[in-house]
Amino acid sequence: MYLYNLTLQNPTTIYQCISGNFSGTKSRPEVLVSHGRSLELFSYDDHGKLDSILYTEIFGTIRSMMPFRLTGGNKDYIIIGSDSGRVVILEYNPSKNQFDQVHQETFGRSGCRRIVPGQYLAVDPKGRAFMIGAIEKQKLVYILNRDSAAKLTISSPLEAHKSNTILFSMCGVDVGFENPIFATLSVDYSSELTFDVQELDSRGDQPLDSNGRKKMLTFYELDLGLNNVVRKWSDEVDFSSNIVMTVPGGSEGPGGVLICSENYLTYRNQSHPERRVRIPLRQGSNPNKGLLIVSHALHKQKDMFFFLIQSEIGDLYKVTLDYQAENVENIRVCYFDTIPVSSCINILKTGFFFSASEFGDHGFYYLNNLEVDESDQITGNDGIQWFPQHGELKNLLLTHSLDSLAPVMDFKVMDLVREENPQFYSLCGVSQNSSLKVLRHGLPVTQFADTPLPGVPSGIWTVPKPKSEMAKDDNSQIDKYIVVSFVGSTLVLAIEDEVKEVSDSGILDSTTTLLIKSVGADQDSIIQVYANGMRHIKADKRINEWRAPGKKTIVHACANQHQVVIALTGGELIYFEIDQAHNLVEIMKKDMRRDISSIEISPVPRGRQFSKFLAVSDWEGPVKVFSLDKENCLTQIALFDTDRQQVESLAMIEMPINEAGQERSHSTSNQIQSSQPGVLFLFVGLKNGVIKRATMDQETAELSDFRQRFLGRKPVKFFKIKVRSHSALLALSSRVWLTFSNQGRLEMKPISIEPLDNASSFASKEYPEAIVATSENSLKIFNVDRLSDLFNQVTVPLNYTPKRFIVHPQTNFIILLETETNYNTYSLSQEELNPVKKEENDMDTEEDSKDKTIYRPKIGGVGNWKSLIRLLDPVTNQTLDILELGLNEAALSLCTVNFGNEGEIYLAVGTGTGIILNPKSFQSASIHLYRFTQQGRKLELVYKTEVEEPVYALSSFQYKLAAGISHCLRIYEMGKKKLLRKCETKSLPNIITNIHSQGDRLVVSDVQESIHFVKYKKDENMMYVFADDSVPRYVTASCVLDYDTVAAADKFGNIYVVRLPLNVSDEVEEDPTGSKLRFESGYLNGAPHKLEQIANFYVGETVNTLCKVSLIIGGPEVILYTTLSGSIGALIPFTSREDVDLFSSLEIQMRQENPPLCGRDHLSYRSYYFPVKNVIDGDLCEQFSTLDPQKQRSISEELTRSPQEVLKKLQELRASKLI
Amino acid sequence: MSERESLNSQLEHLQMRYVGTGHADTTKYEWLSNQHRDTIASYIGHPSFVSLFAIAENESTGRIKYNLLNKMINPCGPPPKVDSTTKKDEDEDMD
Repeated sequence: MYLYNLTLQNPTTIYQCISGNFSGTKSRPEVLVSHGRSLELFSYDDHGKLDSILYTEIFGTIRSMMPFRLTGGNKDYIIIGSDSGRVVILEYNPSKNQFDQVHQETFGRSGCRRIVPGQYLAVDPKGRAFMIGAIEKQKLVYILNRDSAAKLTISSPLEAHKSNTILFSMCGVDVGFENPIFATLSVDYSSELTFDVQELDSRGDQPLDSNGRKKMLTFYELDLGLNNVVRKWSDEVDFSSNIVMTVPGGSEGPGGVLICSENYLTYRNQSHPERRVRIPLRQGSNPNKGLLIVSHALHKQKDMFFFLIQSEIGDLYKVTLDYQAENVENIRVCYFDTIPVSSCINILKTGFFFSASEFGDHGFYYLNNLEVDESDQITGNDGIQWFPQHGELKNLLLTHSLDSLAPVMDFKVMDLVREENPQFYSLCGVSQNSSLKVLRHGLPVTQFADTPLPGVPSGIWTVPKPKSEMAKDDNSQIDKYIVVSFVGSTLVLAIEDEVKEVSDSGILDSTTTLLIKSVGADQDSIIQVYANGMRHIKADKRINEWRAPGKKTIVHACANQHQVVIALTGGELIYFEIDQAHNLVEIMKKDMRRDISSIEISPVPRGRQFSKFLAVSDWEGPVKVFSLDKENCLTQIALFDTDRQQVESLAMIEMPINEAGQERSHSTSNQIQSSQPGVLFLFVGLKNGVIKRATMDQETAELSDFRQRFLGRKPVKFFKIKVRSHSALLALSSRVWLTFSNQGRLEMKPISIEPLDNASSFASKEYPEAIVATSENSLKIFNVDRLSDLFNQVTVPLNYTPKRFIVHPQTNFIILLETETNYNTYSLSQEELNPVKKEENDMDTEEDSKDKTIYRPKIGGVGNWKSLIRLLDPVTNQTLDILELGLNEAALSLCTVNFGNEGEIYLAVGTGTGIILNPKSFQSASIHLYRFTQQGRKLELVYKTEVEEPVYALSSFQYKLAAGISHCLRIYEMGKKKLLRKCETKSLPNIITNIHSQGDRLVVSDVQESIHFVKYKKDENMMYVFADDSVPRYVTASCVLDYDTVAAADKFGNIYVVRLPLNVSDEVEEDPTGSKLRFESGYLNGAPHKLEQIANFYVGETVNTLCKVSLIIGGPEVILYTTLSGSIGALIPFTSREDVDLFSSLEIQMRQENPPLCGRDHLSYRSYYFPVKNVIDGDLCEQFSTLDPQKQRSISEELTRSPQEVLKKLQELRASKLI
Repeated sequence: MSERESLNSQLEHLQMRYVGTGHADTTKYEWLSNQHRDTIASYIGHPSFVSLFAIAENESTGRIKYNLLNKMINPCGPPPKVDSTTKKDEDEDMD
C-alpha cells in the first residue's frame, strides 16, 4: 500500500505572529503568522479585512519568530528559530510572492532538543544583533550588518552559554546605539545550589520553589568593539516571573525591562530601583491563585508608548509608565477589554490589533479608544484593584475574524442532511469557545439581496456607468443598469440609491435580449443584441439599428469593447468593429454551414485596440478558433477537440498565472502591475457537465496544456466576473464554480449557493466586486470575499469543551458529549471570593444573558468536572435535549447499542467522577444507559451501572456492549436493573481508548501501547488478545481500513497503518477451539503475534481523528485526518504502480531542488519519530507549481515529462480523489 | 594507557558538550531527571503538544508552558539525601 499525503484544509491555529513591513513598500505593515508547520502572510485593507497573500509549508516546526530592521532600512526581515538546528533569515519577495532565504546558519542538531537553540529569540531594537536561545544552557548571539552592496550580512555566533540553567524568557534591551544588551529570565538548577532550612525561613514571604532556587534576570552585553558577549548584570526577581519585555529606550523611553510574574508587573533596569505594581483582578477571580500574563505587545509612536498585556483568563490590560528621562516613577496598569485568550498579540503601526487565539477564531481589531476609563477599578479591602468585566468590547472594534477550526476534537464526514455531497461535522474549540462546525465544500457568500422577478429570466447583464457621468478624479467602476431579459421582454433597472425600473435607457424592452455590452473606449455606448437585430445606443442616446437580413435571426452574440460578432441561424457569422467615429461597421461575413452553439471573442490585450481571436463551436464538431486579423480575417487557426461532446458555452479569459512554465507575473492581490501580461485561457463548457480548458498562446492561438473536470449534472454555462480586480470565470452547472487566480495559481472552487441560471458582475460603491445572478424567478446579489476559504461553515455553539459525538443510526440525530475539567462547580465560592458583593449580583445576571462574551475564569481546580449529553438535530441545528451529568462527573465515551430486544437502540455513556489526571485518581465510575423517547428526540435514563474504573471506550458488539474499563475489556449484556457482565479480559496494558468491532474481532487501541487485536469466542464465551504491535504508540485515534488493517495516529503526530499478517489472520479464523492461540504467549508478556507496519508518516501536529471516507460520489476512499491545529488532511491510496514511481521520483527531486525554507531536511522531518514508510508527501510535490520555470523544467526532464504534464498530474490527483 | 586517556577525555568532552550524557557514576536520580528534562523540552518545543496539555487540563497554553518550564528545574523532586541508608537501598534496587 502506498499513500499520498495531501493537506485539504491548512492549519488554522496560530502559535506566533509578528507584524512588520515585510514587502518593503510604503504600504501598510503586514502580519506574518506561524501555524507551527507553515507560514502565512496577511495584508489588510482600510476596513480591517485581512487577506491571505502567501501560505508556505516549511516542513519543520517553527518555535520562534522575530522581525528586525537594519538601521535606516525600510524593510523588515524575519528571523526564524525552528527545530532544524539552524537559524534562518527570510525576506519576503513581493514580486515573486515568496519568501527568500537570505541566511541559514547551522549551530546544532535537528529536533526540539533541550540544549539546541531555537526556542527563544530576542532582537536588538536597533536591528544590530539577535540572540537565539535554547531552553537550557545555550544562547548564541549573531551580529547583523550590511556589506558594501547593502546586503544583509551575519557574523559567526558568539556564545553566551551558562550550564544548568533553564531559560524562561528573553528580550532585547533598548539601549539606543550603545552596545546591544539582551535580558534573560533563568533559573539555575545545579545541585550545589541548595539552601539550608534556616536561610529559607529568614527569607520571609519571598515565593520560592521547594529547593530555594532563585529566578535571575540577567543582562548580557554584546561588546561590538571586542566582539564578545559578557554577563553584565544579574539580579533576583520574583520566582513566578515568566515574561520579560523590552521597554523603549534611548531617546524614546527609559529603557530597561518589564517583568511579568504572577499578579505583579515589575520594572527593572541596571542601577535603577525596582518598581512593582499589582495587576488588577477581574471580579469573581480568585486572589489567592496567581494570575499569569500570557501574551504582550508594545505600541510605540514618536511621543508615547504603551503595552497591552493579556492575562490567562483573557483580560487585556494597558500598561503605561510614568517616567522622567531614565527614571521610572510609576507603572500604571488598567483594564482594557476582554477577548479570547491569545497565544500571541500584535499591535500594528496603523492602529490595528491582531490577536491569535490559542483556540478558536482569531480576531483583527481596531484600537478605537486608548484613553482608558480607570474609574471602574475599585480598590478592595486587601489593596487589590478589582474591575468588572466589560460585557462587550469598549476599546476595541472587531473588524475581521479569521475562522479557526482548532482544536478539532472529533470529526466525521457524513451526509446527514441528504445533500448529495457529504458534510464535514467537527467538534471544535474549548471551554466557552466550543462549537459544532458543519463544513460544506464551497466558498462562503454574503448575500445582500434576493428579490422575486415577474418571470423566469433568460439573461442578465450589467452596464457600467460611463466615465463622463462620474466625478473627474473618481476612478472606481460602478454599474449604472442591471438588464434582465425575459421571453419577449427586457427589463432595465437603474442602480441609484435604490434599484428601480427605467425606460429612458434606449434599450429596446419589447424583445428578448441576447447580449448587452457597453462598448467604446470610454464604455459610454451600449450594444444590445436581440433576435431580429442589433442596437447601438450612443452616449448621447442616439440609436443606430442594424437589422438581421431576410428571415434569419440572430442566435448568439459576443462582444468586447471594440468588436462584436453575431451568429445567425443557419450558421452565418458576421463580424463588426467599432471604428474611430464610434460607428458600428460590418467587416466580414462567413458562412459556417452548420448551426452554431456558442461563440466567444477573446478579451482585448493591453495596449491594443482589437483582439485577435474568435472561438466558435457548432453542435457536433470541435471548437474552432478563428483569427480576427485584418489580413486573414475569419480564417481558422486552431482547433480544440471536444471528443464529439456538445458544446454549451465558451469563454476566453486572461488571468495572471505563474504556473505552466509561464513567465512569472506579479500576483500579490493588490499589487498587480498593469503592464504584466497574463495567460489567456480558453474554457469550453460541455452539455454533459464537463469543463475543459486550454492555455492559448497570445500571438499564435496555439493551444496547449489541456485539462478537464466534471462540474455537475447540468450543462456548463460561463459568465465573466471580476475577482480582486482581475477577470474571473463563473461556471454554472448543478453547482456554481468560480475559477480565479489565487496566489499566482489558477483555482477552481465551488460557491456555496443554490444553482444559478445566469450571472453577471455587479459593482457598486459598497461592493465593488459583487455578483448579480438569477435563479428560477429570483434575483440575487451576493459577494464572495473570503476566497482563501475552502469551506463554508455553520457554527452551532456549545457550552463546554466537546469530547466526542456519534450519529444515531436511525434518526440521524447527533449525540455529543461535552466535558470540561478545571471547571468552577461551586457557585457559592465565587461570591465568597468577591469582595464587592453588589457588583457580583449584576454580573451573575449578565453572565446568563451574554454567555458568549463573558469569559469564565478557570478556578475550579483539578478534579472538578462539568459535563452534559446533548442531542442535536443536524437538519435544523437545534438542540433537542440536554442532560447535565452530576457533580464532577465526566462523560468520557459513548456509543449506541442494540441489545437485540425488538431492535430498540440505547445510548451508553461511560463516565468517571472526580477524575484527576496526574497522578491518576478518581472517586467512582459508571456506565449510564439511556433510552430514546418521543421519536428519538428525548433521552431517558434507564439505569447506571457502577464499574471499577473510568470508562474511556465503548462500542456495540454483536448485540452486546463492549466497554474499555481502564485496562480491562469487558462485554456486557442488558439486564433488568443493571448491565450484566458476560466476559472480560485484563490482558491489555494501560487504558483502552478506542474499540472497533468487526465480526467476532475487536480492535482495541491502548493509550500507550498501540493496537491490539482481540478475538471473541462465542461458544466458549471468552476473549483473548492474539496480536499486538511491536512499537509503543500513544494512540489518539484509530480507524479500521479492512478486516486485517488498521490506521492509527499517535499524539506525537504520526499516522501509521498496521496489518495482521495473512497467515495469522487465517490461523485465527481456522482455530475452532481457540485453545491454540489462547494459551500461546509471546515474548515479554506480549501477544503471540505481531502486527506488521505497512505505512508511517509524521504529520507535524497531534492528529486527533481519523476516518475512512469517499469524498466524491463513487470516488475512491481516502483516509481523512484532522489535527489539533485545525488542519484537515488526507492520505490517498495510489492505484497504479506507475503513479507511485512518478510521484516518489518527483518527491526525491523536490527534496533536492526545493529544500524546505527553514533549513529542516524533509526526509528527516517526515521521519521524526519513526522512519517514513510508503507515504509520499503531496504537500511537497505540490510546491512544484511554485518553483520557477527553469527548475520546473529541469525536474520534469528528470521525470521524462514536461512541466505541464507534471502539473496536470498533480492537479488531477487532488481533484479526482478529494474535492 | 594513552588510548584509555584519550577515550576518557573524549567522554569528558561529550559530557561537557551534551548535557545529560551519562558516566559510570550517574545515579538513578540524575538519569531520570535528565530523561524528564529532555522530554519536557521536547513538549515545549512542539507547539501542538502544549495545546494538547492545555485542552486536557483546561488551562491557557501560557500557563502550561510556564508549568512545564518550572517542572524542568526539579522534574523528579528534590535529590535524595546522600547517606549510607539510601545508598544501600539503591544498591539493593540494582540487584
